[in-house]
Amino acid sequence: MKVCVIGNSHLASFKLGWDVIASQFPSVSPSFFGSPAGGLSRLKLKGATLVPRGEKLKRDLEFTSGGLSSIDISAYDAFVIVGAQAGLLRMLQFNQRHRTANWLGVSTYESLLSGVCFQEAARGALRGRRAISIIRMLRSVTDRPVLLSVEPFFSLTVKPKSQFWREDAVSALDRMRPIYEAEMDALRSELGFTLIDQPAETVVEECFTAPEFGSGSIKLLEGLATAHSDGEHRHMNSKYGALVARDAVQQLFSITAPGLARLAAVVEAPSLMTRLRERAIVGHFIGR
Amino acid sequence: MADQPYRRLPKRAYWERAIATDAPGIYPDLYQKRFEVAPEHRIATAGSCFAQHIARNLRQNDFTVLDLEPAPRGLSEAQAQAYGYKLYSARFGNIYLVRQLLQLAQEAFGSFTPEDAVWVKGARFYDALRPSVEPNGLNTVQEVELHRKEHLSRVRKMLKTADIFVFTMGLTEGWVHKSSGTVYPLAPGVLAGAYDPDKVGFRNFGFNEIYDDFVAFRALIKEVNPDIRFILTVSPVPLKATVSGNHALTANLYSKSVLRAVAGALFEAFPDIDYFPSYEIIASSASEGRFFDETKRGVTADGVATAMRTFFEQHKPPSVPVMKTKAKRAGALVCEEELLGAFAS
Repeated sequence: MKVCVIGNSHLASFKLGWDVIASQFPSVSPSFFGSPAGGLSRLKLKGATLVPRGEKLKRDLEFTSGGLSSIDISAYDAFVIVGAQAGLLRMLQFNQRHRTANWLGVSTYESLLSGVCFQEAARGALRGRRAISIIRMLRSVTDRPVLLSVEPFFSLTVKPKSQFWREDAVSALDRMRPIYEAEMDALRSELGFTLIDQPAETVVEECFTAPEFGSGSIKLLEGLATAHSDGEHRHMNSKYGALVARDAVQQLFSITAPGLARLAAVVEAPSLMTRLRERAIVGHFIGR
Repeated sequence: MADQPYRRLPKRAYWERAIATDAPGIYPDLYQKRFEVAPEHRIATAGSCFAQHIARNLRQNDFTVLDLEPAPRGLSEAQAQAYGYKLYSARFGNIYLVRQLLQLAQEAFGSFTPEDAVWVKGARFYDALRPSVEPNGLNTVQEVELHRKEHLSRVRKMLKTADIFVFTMGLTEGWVHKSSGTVYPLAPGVLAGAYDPDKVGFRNFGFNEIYDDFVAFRALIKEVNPDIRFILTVSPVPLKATVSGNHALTANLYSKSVLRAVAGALFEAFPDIDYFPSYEIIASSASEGRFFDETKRGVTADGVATAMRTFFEQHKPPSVPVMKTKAKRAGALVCEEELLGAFAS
């Protein structure tokens, strides 16, 4: 199964995690395409190909994919979007900046909004996320499976640095989750993608990532060997990436063959039968 | 032959030669800047609806236009404007009257407290000094007050930090709370609130009042921001309706004449006040009405572009060609005054 994995800086964790578990899924052949920060905003659809606008993104796509400077959508059986601004974290950050009169929190904020304006803006912000834009482009030319893997919550190590994360974040979560879930349901219904939430075992104190998944995270730079500086709390390591990548692969299998995911996950070296069944799924995708 | 004062004047001084032009609305030497507006200058904008065009064009041409109340991410352009964002340098909505501007500044610096500042409509509550910025109103009086407090802090910051304040004068007619003098941007009852003639009255501000109001505004701002300079314009957009008892045509011409005269007098009196003639470019007989749409009130995209071209010929945008101002569309305006039209039929 040829899988196209597109992501922002969080792609580093996913890729390094995939390297850890790759041998367990020999029939899965991923190609990675990534660019840190806002680089993916310059990814545009041209016919059935996603092409970079600008040299920087072109170089990023080439180094992450091993030489490809564009994404031929028809060449893949499935797509995984990694991070790219998607997830409940971004909704919490929205609430970090904007408040309403009925919930001012204790930390400082940028602006006070009316309840209606707050809801409209929060929903609009979610709809405008880069991941959603990429899925829209994909969906305009393919109906093959698309998965969206959300960005992780900040590491628990962020708490001492920020009053919002220390004192307001959990309350904010209660406010933002219903907006997030309702809008994400609407987007899934409209665009037909599968959401991969942050693995439950990595979440602590409701909206943080356990520090063990954050230490030793790597930047999405050529060579994938540059560590983030001390104090990094946004990005996760290969241990986290392995959990997410495994979830993604299992979700891909379960979309067409629910029983196979379990089977594929338990075998270290897949049996001939497993390989044959996975190949059958590939055939299914290709035949669509 | 004896000399006389009308000889040897520059071309711009003679009507026929001054308005002779190959490009309609572009009159050579019409506007000669009094001071530089540089890209690094922090510009604050406010005024009547037409001022929205000026703010938008300055932004589009990479001038530093202050935005102390930026729209939250996630709102579309139309949504943001409906909530009063992206129109001016803060979310005060349209400021049609100079008295309104003065009171806003006084309130921001604590020397004025408006009366009857919260209007009700159904179960919703509106800031009477900027009723359009929350189209659905707010939940409680306290919420309105909280929002206003935050807004005033942004206005204060805007007035303290601006290098140049661009203000477009729009109207002379307004509605005043009788006992306190609080001026509203709209008559109570149009968008929210209830009209009580015992409490609120119509007022057509005259030359002296408007002149004095701007002088007071200038003095107030200079106390906290001594180097600030001003650019005044007069909106060419005619009033939508009048309750002065006069015909709308005469009421409008009177209003614009007073405003133009005040702007001229302020220009003559203060070296830190410039006047930009957008009114003349769009509304004068030389332009033959070509810059108004079929309503004879709305300014066309071409009219806006022509006025701004004249502005940018004197204040060069940073590395941007002047013709960038030739917009295909003028852009939507948010004008509470349009609501008055609903009462016309």
